[in-house]
Amino acid sequence: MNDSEIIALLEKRDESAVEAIDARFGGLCRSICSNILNDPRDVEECVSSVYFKLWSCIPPAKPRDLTAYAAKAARNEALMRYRADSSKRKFAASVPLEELESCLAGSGGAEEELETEELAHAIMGFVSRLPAEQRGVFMRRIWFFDSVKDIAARFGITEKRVNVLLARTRRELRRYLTKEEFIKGGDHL
Amino acid sequence: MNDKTIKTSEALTDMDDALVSEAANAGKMKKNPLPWLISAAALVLIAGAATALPKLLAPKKADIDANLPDPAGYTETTEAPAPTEAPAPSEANGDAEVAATLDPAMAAAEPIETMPVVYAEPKVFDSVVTLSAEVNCGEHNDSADVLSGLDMIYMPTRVIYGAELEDITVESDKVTVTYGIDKDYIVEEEDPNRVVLIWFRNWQKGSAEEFARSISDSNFGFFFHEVFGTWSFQSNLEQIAVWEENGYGFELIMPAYYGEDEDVLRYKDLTVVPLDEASAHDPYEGLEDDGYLQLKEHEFTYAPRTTFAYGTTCYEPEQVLGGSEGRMLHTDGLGFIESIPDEEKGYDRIMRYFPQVGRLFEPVLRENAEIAEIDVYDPITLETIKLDISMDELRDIADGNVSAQMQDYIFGDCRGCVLVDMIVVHTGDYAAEFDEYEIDAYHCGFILNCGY
Repeated sequence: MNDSEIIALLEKRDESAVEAIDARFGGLCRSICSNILNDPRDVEECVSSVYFKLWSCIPPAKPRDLTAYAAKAARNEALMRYRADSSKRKFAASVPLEELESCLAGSGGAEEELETEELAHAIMGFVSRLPAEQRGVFMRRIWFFDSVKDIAARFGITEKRVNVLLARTRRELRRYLTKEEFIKGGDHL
Repeated sequence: MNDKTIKTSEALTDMDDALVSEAANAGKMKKNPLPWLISAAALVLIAGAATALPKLLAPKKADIDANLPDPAGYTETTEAPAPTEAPAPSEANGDAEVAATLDPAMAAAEPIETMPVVYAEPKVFDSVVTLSAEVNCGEHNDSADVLSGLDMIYMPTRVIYGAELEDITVESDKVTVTYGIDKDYIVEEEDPNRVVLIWFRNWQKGSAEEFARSISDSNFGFFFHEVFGTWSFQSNLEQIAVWEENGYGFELIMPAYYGEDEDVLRYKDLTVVPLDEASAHDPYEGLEDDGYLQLKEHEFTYAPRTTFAYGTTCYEPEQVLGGSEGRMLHTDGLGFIESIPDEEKGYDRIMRYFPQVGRLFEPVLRENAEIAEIDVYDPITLETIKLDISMDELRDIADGNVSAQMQDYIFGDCRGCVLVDMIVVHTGDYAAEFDEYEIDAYHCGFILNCGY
């Protein structure tokens, strides 16, 4: 079932839309949620919340790209739970987040919400200009929170190459953010 | 994990749809039956939930989240629905590990996925390895937990601009480093025109993973830089990978890349003696009860060849790295300091390894500083090189203002690099800076790459 058909079901308030969503995006949503959260029960709750959100928001929303819409909903939901419970548990997302943190070190205070948005947009722009493979690997890491092993399997490359691509990209990102003055004081490297 | 990082990551959810979809569909991941099983189980749950959905929907219709996407029509970059209020975390299922606190130390216990770490049975190299290699030095970050090496190998290899590290394998008598340039072009090593510097490190047991992680967190793992045109004190080594193999720790540091052409670097012969069994299998035998590491003579000998971290974020102040009584190796945020009591001279000889090669003079030759002694060593053989040079000329070197003419004058038959070891006596205001370490005078060592 394609996006339009699923959206049509949702607009009709046909409850089979949820099954269709699960069949089409269940793997994607679970992958994202389990990459961020640890407890399988939290993952399932998160996925259920995502499905509920899709049901609730469509309509009136009519996303052109339902894959991205579902993925973003899953990411939103999982990160919210991560933030709420990160003080108590080890989370799978910790390592990729720490990698991102290493790129952002020196980028200003957390209270500057506008700067956070601008920083995120700068990162998005940076990612969009990366070569395809590098972009894909980096996105799978920082956006989808995939493990290095899973990224390697997905792209059919060695884990070493994944590490190498990620390290290079983080370094390039940091240089870019320094150049754009998101990071003060120059590259500490 | 700071709040800003999480907020930034959350904000990244608004990534362009095309990039999200591209990444969602990227690659050729093999189908694993497990997700299908999970999906099948989920369908069962969904079927059950579907019967309850109308009951949930009715009251919720009047309470739709205010952050709904724009209902006006299609959206190019769809804003995902905002998450619900934070649910209560799932209760522990009697698992003793549930209450773990998320912090870097805990995270470090997870498998390190960012750096290649290979564990194998300890192994001693069977023979002396003689290589032709360039001696080149630069800077790199170093973990305070690891002391520099017992041995090092300069391995000739071929480096091409833009090459990427593909693989590293270690055998009994050779190290193979494989590079790729583009995905389809792999270049093997064995070319004497380039050199890969691989340090053997005396890994503290269990520290490889943490060290690799610290390197990763320090955002290392570079590739080849752009041109470094002069002999001077530029960053010309980049740490590529850190790993442990065959009982040895490895740190792969790539040499400088001069120009877009494949310039040949000067090199000379070097004989490397492999690690002996005692040090290989129990490098910290005889560890003092106080926990400090014994600095063996040859460890100290090699230490000056180590390159050190640049920047002020790599070390904890006052972090003690180890040493025996009277010989303490620690950092002060600027670099390594080793203090060596010298009764004959009446003060501690302090070896300070400054963060960046080439800037070692900078904090040394200040006003009121006097160089008490200068020794210049060949960094490989440690043979003393006679140095006939004045203070002013040394200051010029510190400032990087050394002409080619002076290079010839100073170093004569250039052999790549020399090690300069000085004892500097500070007086006046700057002496107070070192009171904390009870330093009146100190060694200053650095490695000078004198050009090609």
